[in-house]
Amino acid sequence: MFLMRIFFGIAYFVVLIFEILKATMDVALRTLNGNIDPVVVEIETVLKRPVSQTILANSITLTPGTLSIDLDSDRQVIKVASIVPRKKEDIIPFESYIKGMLE
Amino acid sequence: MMWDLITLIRSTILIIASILVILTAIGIIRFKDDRKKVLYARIHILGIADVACILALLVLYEPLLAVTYFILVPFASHAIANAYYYGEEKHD
Repeated sequence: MFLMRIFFGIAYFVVLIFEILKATMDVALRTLNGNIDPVVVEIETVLKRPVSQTILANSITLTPGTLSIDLDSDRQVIKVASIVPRKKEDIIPFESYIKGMLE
Repeated sequence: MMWDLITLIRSTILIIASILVILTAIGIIRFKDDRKKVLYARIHILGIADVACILALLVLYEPLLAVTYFILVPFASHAIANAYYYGEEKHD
């Protein structure tokens, strides 16, 4: 369904903008508080195409507070540096939208 | 009218962007080298300056520059982090 892909693309963009603004406020508050604890974690994705994996890694880096270090396309694993230890759903909340858009 | 709505919104967003830039400067100076993995924290904090720059470019009627910045920002951060992670020097 082509129309569903367009719908998922628009929804992905809205969710990405909202997450960027939320994470900006969060990191700005952490700058004032001083409670940071940078960690490097590995997260697994369900995305299979390299295009969607690249878009996911770009979205992770674009959000302040998370940063993609390396992408293993065969094992579907992204190394992510996060400013505090977080759950996987909080790091990639837009994964399902990319899956609906491109897979 | 000088105090129309669009001017007020633009001024507010520009003030928010400048506050974000000041917060970035404070964060970069504040965290010293004795912490663990402080380079990642610095890159995270520099991400705030990117968001502030995108906001300011959108408000200053430069949407093409803002979109270009939005697409090209992650590559530089990713390059620095990847080079640090796989670098030759020993670190934790």
